[in-house]
Amino acid sequence: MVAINKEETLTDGTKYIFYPPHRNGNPKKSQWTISQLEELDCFKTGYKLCLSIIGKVYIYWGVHVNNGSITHLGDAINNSQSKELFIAKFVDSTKRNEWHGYPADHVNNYPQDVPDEHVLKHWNSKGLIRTAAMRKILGGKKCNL
Amino acid sequence: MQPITIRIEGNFYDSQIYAGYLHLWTLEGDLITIKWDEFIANLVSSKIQESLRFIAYAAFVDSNFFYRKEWQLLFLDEEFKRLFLTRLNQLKDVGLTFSLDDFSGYYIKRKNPFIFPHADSLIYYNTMYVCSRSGVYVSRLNSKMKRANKIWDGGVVNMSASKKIVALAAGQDGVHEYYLWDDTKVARTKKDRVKKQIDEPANFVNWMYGSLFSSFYSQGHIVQFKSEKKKHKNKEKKRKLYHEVDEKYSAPELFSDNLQSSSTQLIWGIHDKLCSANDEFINVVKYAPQVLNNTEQFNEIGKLQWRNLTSNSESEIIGASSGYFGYIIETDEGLLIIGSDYDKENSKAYLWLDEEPINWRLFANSKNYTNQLHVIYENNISIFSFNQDYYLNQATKLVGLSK
Repeated sequence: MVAINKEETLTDGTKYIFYPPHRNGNPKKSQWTISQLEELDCFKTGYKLCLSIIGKVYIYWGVHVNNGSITHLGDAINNSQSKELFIAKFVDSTKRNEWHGYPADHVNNYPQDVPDEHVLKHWNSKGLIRTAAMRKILGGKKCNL
Repeated sequence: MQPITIRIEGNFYDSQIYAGYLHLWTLEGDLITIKWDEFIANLVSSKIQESLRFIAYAAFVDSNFFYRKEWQLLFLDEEFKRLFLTRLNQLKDVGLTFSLDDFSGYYIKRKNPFIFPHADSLIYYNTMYVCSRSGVYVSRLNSKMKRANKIWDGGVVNMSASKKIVALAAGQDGVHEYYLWDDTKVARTKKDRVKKQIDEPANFVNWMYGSLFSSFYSQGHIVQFKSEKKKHKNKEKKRKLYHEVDEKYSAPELFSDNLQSSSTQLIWGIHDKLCSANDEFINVVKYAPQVLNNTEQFNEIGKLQWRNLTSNSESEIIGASSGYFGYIIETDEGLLIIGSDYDKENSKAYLWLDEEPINWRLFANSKNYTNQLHVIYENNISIFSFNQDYYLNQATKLVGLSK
């Protein structure tokens, strides 16, 4: 296993902080099931994509792609209608280019955890998310990959 | 209960049908409007023999036609009923598949003026509403439709309109109402036109007569309103003065204890039917708001098994709805349509569509298209017309809404 810091600073100065409550079994927080390196990679890819599609904002979105397909990246909280989560939400809450992220639950946290329409459409056009899944995500419905 | 089907090839995302026009959103970002009634009258009719044109008209253009009282009397004539069923069966066997090229002269294509992709759409009072996580947008229906205006910033997942109110299910933000009228105490200014009515989370909303129903999977609520009307100066019509919550019911509590369990997957309510689906059964409560005694307004009328009608014993319910012709259940593997003629004697009155749809839609609140189910697949939209409900006793139906 590769050791990793509590935060990472990217070459352009963007800081990514690994937020512990989403990895420590906290029952009230969704939990990452991918490694921290994969989480960081998900952020880097999502950051670059969202910046190009929706411009400079403080909420970005990511997915974990393995062998060309999206795979699940987190688990929902216990009493959620969702189980496995496959979209990551990244937030720059201080607006100082310091980001953290968590697995988003589009069913239980509608509309806050539903990705931007243009980003979803991009993932759909790249064959990462089926059109039926895209409609279910936007409709706050349970959805399999 | 086999429906008549018109299939249109293409990559679609959503559909609406209203006042003679079929609207289709394409994945490429266009909004196509087809002169539906004209198309049925001319093009479809040219594909079918003359003796079937009457049935085709009723099936796709005027779903109310056979509900009229005089037809109810005619359906008592077994000979007529046999002829009706024969014609329906003949029409089912005609291949009605079209490409957009077949609609040349019957449609216009324009750039979709709304946010896309969206969560839900609605047409009401000649206005198209589209909602998504980023808000609610409107545009008057006309041939141009170049621009849509945003009327609310809140994310909305599902909409339903009645009595000049558009109900908005806003997920964790509960249910809001958008008032179309502008001369009441609740909506003096444009800003006041949206008012929160239900705090609890909602991803489904509909009207049960004048009452508002909302649900979030196994949790649901029914809100009854009190309103006062007065005559306006120089106007004959009474206008609404206010619209406030009177009674609120928790929907699961309207089902008897033995029916309520942790296995409840989804509750939904439309018009006179409140349904609760668990792993095996759909339990049905009939709603009669005109009864003055509150406790007698909700009556359990029975249950039916749904699980054994699907191809998978474990699939979860994702969504559901009710039409006059039956109940629709969406699982992650397909759509189940249980016909209004389904009962123990007619256990074949169902249809399992074994393919995950991109989208599907009923038109229970429309004037002329209540018998249609639109299902969008990867490369086509299938428009199903169900026609078995006309000769059923509407008052005693367990499956489907009552006319």
